Amino acid sequence: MRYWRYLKRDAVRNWDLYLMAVPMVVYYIIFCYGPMYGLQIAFMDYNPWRGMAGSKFVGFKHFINFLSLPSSFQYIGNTLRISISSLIFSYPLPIILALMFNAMPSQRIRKTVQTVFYMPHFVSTVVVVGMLALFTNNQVGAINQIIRALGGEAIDFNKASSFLPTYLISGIWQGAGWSTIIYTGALTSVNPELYEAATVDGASKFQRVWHIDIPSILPTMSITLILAIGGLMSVGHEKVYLMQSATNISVTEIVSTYSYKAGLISGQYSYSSAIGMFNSVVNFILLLFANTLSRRVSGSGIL
Amino acid sequence: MDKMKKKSWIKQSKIQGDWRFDLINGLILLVLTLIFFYPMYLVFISAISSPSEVFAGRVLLLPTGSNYEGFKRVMENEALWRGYANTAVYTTIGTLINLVLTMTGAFVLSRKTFALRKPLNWMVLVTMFFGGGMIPTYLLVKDLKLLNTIGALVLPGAISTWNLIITRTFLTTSIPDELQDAAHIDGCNNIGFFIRIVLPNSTAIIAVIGLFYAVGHWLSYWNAMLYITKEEMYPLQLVLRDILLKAEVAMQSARTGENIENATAVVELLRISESVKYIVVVAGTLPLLIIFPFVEKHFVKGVMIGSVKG
Repeated sequence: MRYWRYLKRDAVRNWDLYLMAVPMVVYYIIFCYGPMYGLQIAFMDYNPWRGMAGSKFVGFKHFINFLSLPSSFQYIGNTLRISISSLIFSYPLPIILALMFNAMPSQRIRKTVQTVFYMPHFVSTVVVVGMLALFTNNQVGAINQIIRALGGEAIDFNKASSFLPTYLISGIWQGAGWSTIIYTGALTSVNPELYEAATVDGASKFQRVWHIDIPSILPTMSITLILAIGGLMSVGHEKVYLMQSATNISVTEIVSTYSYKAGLISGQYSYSSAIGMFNSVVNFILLLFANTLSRRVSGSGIL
Repeated sequence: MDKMKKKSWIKQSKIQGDWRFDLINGLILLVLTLIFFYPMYLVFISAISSPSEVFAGRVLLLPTGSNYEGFKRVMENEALWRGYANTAVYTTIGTLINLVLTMTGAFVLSRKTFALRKPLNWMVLVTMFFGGGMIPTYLLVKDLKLLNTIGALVLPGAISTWNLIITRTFLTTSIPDELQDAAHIDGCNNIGFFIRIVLPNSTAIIAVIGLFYAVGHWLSYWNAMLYITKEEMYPLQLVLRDILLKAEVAMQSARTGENIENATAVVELLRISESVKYIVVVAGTLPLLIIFPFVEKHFVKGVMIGSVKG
């Protein structure tokens, strides 16, 4: 009751502040909560002509349809294979890189090196996949030409099994440098007296990295790990979709690309929404799981 | 104090492992830097070299020959230039909308006496974990009659919750409450305070999130793929996708149009289309990469502000 009185008084006195809040509130209601409300079509046989009110409620039909599809587990498996392997490779690398940057004695060289590592982040997914297509052309692509020049045996990039390494390596190129920033930020807050004390005690540079730098970025590491695990089901579908080809579709069809095709190419709106919802529910469960795990292990989580 | 400094310096020079550590660290980073730089360099030298040399695998370290034909073809490609122009428009308008909504929103959320502060903060935070997903958003955009309009590209993502929170953090820490009180006593209302005091003191954060938003608009293709079907409205990234990934469009049209039957002519066409792709990759990437070193510090700052409260 007191809150309502306060709100009323505040709204009269600071009416212009409330006016300024309007655009943000309108945006969130329409474009964030609107689709959440629209998600109910996952439980309906949505008919675009009749609208939501005229569509029949069918419960979990679409979820069951998706999960009883023989290939649905293949899609889930593909999603997890791609995301877990990129987690394994792209999670530790930025940490190691950040520690290496931090240990560089010359600030000027360090800046240049960092700029080179950051740059690929600003190359669009479309262009990265385009570059991959050029480099991995079996006959005239640069990779096979280099291999041949060195006397090796050319790789067959059209094979389905070539997809994952190509995806992972290009992913590291795109993201490893940029992801170091968050750790570099944590490293700048290390108290320099710790280094001095360690040096006085005879610690080598490697020991300083091991005993000072790594413990000081542990909290950041656990947060990024939780977030990464929480995003396992949301692989970068934009890149996977562009990399799909007739020869690798058996390993590249993931839940979100399948959902896109079912919804926007075949027009099965309800079915596709159900798949999307299934995907985010799994994601959220993974996030909660990772968070609990981190609480148990390190005593801190994000939720 | 002075004595200690000296002591630590002596100790440091005594530690044998350190120069070795620096050397190995430096060498590994040098190699990695070259590896990371090479793909971009390779694309660049392949774009300016003659296509037959590139095809023969002789352009791996230095450019040879010239690629006048390829450049001419790219310059004549109207779709590419239209894509550039469209993206420029979408990026400018989109970023303006982003900035207005994010700055006003973050300002409101940063006011400690604002009675709706808590509920609105929750309204924002919930969207970081839950969303409607692709199809409901698509249907909404369709129902709002935004398909094939610029609105579909700039409205659905008008506020990035992440950027909003970064900005709110910045404003709560950098604009003291006393300033607001003082402004109030001087008869300045909230809007006046926002325009005359907050905005001029937030240029740092405006630069940061403005760049985040602008780069996001520049690089994105997925939304355009969902919402834009008219080719003359395609942003740069969709045009690039068509040139780079829709396989051999040029070849097919050439084949049907001119009915080429001998193999050498087909190889020649393939050669040209591949070399055009190299140029297109350079054309699609270069502007951003040239600007980037000058604005790098803003990006880094943005990520760091975000990580503090993230």
